[in-house]
Amino acid sequence: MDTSGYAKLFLTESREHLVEINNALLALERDANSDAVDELFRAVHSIKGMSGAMGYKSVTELSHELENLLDKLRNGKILVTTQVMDTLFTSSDALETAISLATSDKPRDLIVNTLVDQLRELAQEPEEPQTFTAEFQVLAETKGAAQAKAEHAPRHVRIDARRLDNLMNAVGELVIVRDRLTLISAQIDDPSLSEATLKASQLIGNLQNEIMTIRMLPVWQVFDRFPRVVRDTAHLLGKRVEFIIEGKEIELDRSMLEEMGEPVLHLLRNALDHGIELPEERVAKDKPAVARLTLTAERDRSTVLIRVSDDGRGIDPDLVLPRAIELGLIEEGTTTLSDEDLIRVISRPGFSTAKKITDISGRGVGFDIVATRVRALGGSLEVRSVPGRGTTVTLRLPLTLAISRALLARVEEEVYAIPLTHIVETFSLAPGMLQHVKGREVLVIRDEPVPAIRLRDRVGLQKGNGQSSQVVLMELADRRAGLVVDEFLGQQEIVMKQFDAVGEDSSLFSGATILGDGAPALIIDPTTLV
Amino acid sequence: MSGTVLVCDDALFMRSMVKDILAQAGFTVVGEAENGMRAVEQYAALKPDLVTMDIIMPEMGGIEAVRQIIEADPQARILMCSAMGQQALVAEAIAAGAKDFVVKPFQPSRVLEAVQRVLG
Repeated sequence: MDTSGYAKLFLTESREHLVEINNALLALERDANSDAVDELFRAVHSIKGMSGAMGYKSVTELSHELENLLDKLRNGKILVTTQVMDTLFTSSDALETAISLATSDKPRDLIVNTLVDQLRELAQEPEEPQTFTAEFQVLAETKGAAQAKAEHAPRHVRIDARRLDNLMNAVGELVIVRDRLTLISAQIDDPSLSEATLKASQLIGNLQNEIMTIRMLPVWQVFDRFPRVVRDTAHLLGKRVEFIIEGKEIELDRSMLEEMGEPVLHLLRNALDHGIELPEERVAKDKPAVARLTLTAERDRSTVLIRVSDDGRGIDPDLVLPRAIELGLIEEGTTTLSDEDLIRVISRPGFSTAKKITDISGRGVGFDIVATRVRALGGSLEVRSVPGRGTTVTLRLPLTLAISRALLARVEEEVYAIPLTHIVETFSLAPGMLQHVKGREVLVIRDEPVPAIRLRDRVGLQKGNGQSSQVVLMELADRRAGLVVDEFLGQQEIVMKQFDAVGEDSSLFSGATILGDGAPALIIDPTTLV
Repeated sequence: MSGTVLVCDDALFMRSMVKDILAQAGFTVVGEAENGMRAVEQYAALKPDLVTMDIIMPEMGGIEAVRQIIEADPQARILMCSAMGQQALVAEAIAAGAKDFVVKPFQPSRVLEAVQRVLG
């Protein structure tokens, strides 16, 4: 039969199975008696069945031999040895390659002869059959858990992700039109028009919420590939690491989920390469030989916190300080700086590209890359490090890239949008609040000085009739700043349209949006301002 | 050929393929199940003329599902879909009450022959 129509479906489902296979292999490596073998067997079996139907010979052959080996492992006829584990990992990689070759534009078969021979050899049963005593108990537990899971299994429909993107775009535009409609309706002031507008606006709000929910995906969809990468990287570097993932079920918008994978991977590699010491070094320092690397996801209001934490060597301030002075990032003559100040320095773009620093500090390889990426996503980054004890990097990301709430502020005749994500509070400028300390303008808020930023000066507007009278207090990681504007115009949902950076000034803005009255407004990027 | 069918397989891919083969031959696919437990539920709810049943599925496998369906309805007509090298499991399924089997990868003609035998 003609199978071409099923190729896409094959690819989607096999990829899911490949992820399952990788996870089950990692579980099996940790605990040979786990039910991971059953999972492996089922996943490989499914791939075998599907590839057979598609006529992908190398995939079928490989999965068939793998299945034989797994069957014997499952029945305790052979034992899980390092050699078996290594071959299973190699086979899983080969399976992935074979699948991508078979489904590529120029379909071809992967040569699997050697691997097939290896699998067959391993599947040879030893003379004396070996048995597991723990097997019965494990099976009983598995069954109970599986049953509980099945009773709650929800029904699912598969939708092409692009349709969801289109839907989201349409709703984004709809939200803008809604705000415009509300504005017009207020001007016309007709009771029946107002009522209809209100109703429509509520419905659009519901629609937006529903679509946002549909687009939310649990972070494990991205996190699940990390254990394998961590394992391989650690092996390569000769380091011993226990990798823990927490908060797998936390959900993020699809757009954000896809974008955050790379920065997180970067941080994990950083921790493995530079943060975590070699086992001997750790033992010499009275630390356990096996390091802990933790990846945590946590929901915090309308943001998600992603945290990468290691118990490695941390950042040594004594090594960073001279270099920071040399680069002119800190005033000359400074001898003592708080850890937080130093960390602020290393995550500054440009600083970490200096190779010397990265080698001695054990951090910073591509740190600015991560920082830039996270900033582009509307998030922020925080680093905490204790020399000799470890480093924790926290990414704070908004739930979605598509729509966010912003405060609209006016300076002279210009309107700017400030994302709510980083706003702590707003207040009116009281007399005496603005003071000068060491030639710099600060705002005294509840007896605490906070750097003042006059938006008028920053965007280069001439002083007109506008009167600076309002302040937005913004917070980014542990930094605060007060942005002085003329007037607040209220909150609004904005759909961010990114633009290519032109010149230096544009870095003040992360994008542009269309306001309710159809006029464009620039979106302020708090990460550059604060 | 006509009649109602319940298609059970954990792979959406396989379900689609079986569905297409049967639909083209004139059958109506009234339900799908991705594991044995769903298959038992769906059978009770839909009472289809025919069930196609995969053997290896998560949560509950095909053989246990055959047992439970046959226990509830001894007249149930179930066609096993097995992969190569599962003779022992196929025999077990037949013993549990399945009527016949086809081996993956499917040839549409083979599937339809088997369906005819089961319904005939």
